[in-house]
Amino acid sequence: MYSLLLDSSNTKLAVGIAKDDILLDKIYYDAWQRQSEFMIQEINNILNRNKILPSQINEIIVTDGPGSYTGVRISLTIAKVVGVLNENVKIYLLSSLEILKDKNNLSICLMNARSNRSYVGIYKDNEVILNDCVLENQNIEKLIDKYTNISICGETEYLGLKSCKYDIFNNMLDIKKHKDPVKDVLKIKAVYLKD
Amino acid sequence: MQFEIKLISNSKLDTINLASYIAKFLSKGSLILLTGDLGAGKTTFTQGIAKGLGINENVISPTFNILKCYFHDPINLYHIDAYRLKDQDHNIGLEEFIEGDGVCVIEWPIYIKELIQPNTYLKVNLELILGDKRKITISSNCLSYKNLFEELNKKYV
Repeated sequence: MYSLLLDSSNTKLAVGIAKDDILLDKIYYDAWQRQSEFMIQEINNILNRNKILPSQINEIIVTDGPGSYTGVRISLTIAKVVGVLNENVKIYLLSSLEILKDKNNLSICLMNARSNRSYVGIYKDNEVILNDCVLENQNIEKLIDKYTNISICGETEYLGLKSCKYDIFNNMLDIKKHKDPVKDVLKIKAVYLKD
Repeated sequence: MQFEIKLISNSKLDTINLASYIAKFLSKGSLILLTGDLGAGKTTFTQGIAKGLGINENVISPTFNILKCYFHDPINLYHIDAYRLKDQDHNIGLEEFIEGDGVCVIEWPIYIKELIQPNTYLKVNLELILGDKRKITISSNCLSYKNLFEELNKKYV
């Protein structure tokens, strides 16, 4: 069983391929605001170099936000189109913040939401401690101070914070195990917390 | 405004050269608000900025597209024309370009003013005088442009 992993919710372009929940290969690089140019090509590349046919993909694991307005919609649109055209392909929607977590620790996952705000979610193992939300940057440090021994995860340079290491691909595979596939593919919609 | 300078441009080329000179003082995250009537030279000014940043691509008005991206090392140029966003939903992610990793130029900023942080921008107003002649008023409350205004004063006044 093959899974295609997609994320373009922030500055990175991420394409992964897994067999029976084991990661086989990944493509991961900076492509801020340019994921739309490269994503389809990279999906093609990863399938070709692993000698997998598009028709062999059984499921797509994709992030649905929060994050970059256009970025979130790129991966999500690809997944939705595939899901609509082929109802045998299961789609799993994951939080773009949760995939940043430090798997072994309580994690605060952060993303720049601009205008001095951040997208924030707090996770521990497979539990949600704080649902994804938008917070003023000035309140982030206070929030972090509430917890002893919390991992800071994400591209947090804009906050002057150092992030721990995280593995979005294995996180995606891990989180998926605790999720159900989307029931109605046509209802897939980006999570844009600023609305 | 803390800094202000009024200049006369006698031609399109004058405007391009001025904008191109100003571009040398811009960096990642710089924001320029362009105001002035239709045909005042906002797009011409942006062409000058692009030239100064070393971008060879032809800069055209993004009135239809709203946003045009010119990806270029070391610094990208984002050109927004907010004219069509009048009375529209502004939640389309423009803040990622306004507070982004490049220089952002906004025409008709009045229509997206809630996306623009106070005192973070350089304001350029273009006024049609006659023929190709324009009055250009450049102003800012941003201390980081002190050097630009000193140099403009030396060069043009």
